[in-house]
Amino acid sequence: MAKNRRTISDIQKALLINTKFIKEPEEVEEPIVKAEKKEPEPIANDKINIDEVVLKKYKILAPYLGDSVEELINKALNHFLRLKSLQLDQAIKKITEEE
Amino acid sequence: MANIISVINNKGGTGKTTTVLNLGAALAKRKQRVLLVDLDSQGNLTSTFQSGTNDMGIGELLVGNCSMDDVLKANGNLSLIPSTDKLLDFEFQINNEPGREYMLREQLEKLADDYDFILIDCPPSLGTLSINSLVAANTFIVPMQAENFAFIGLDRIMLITEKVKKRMNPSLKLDGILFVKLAPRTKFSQAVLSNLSNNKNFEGKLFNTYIRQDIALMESGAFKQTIFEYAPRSRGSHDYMDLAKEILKRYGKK
Repeated sequence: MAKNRRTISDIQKALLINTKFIKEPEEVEEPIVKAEKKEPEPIANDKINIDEVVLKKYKILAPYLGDSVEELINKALNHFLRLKSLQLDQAIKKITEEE
Repeated sequence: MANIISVINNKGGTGKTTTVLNLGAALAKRKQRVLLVDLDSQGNLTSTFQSGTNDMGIGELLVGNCSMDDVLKANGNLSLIPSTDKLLDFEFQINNEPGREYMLREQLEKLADDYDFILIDCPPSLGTLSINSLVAANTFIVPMQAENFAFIGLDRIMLITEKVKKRMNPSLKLDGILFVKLAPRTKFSQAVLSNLSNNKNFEGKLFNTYIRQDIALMESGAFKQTIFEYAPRSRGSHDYMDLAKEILKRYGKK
């Protein structure tokens, strides 16, 4: 029986039949890596004026929540600033709608 | 900081263990501090590296039944975290753990400053342990033969690694494809090589060094020796040393 003579090109095509990644390189995009959400920058105690009574309460509360006092203050501050940012967005939206 | 390299191929018999052992030994000979991690329950790397059996290995370490000091075996510049035959049971146990893909990374991070290279010998599957290796690694090497099923296997590995990159380890990169037992003059090998070298995704990713067929490589494992101990003048010995030099050059080392 005559031997089936295949060219390199025939073999190349045959190899690609069962592949996806290798066959379609142009369709495989680099994964989009979302920028990691940055943790808020810690603010040193001496840069914020915190009411003494509030600070005292935070010092009592922090160990129960498993945070340091600084972490707890930063979380509270971050929460407050996000809230203010949201309010600002809503105000801008309202003004734009009115215009 | 250690370069953590996962040596992966879901097909068996592609030279993963031989590559981890002999590339590791070659890097150690080039004054690199090398740790080998046997992530295959067959324990072939472990049994080649040492005589006797281990009570504890990588499985026990991952589930927290022992400490790193309990499992780490050192031999000069070359160290090993062995595997035991109980690893398969631990893989089932790990499957129920939250954050199961990150368990190996957690352990290897502790050793990052103690080694220049950490080479992980993956099992011949793309299960939890192999995914753990890809999450822990900076790069991966795919050893493969120039044949049809290996070519399809490479395609599958690349699809999986893309998912790991996207979801768990964005910095994971393909270090290179290493051809083993290559007969470069055959049409089939040339077709495989040309398909990959003309592919954008594999640009610069085929190692210049390839491992030639060498019976000494098979024999050395049976005698529990690296190729450098068993047959220092063999083709396998030259090829693995060339591979180590190529990798060191890529990493900007001598």
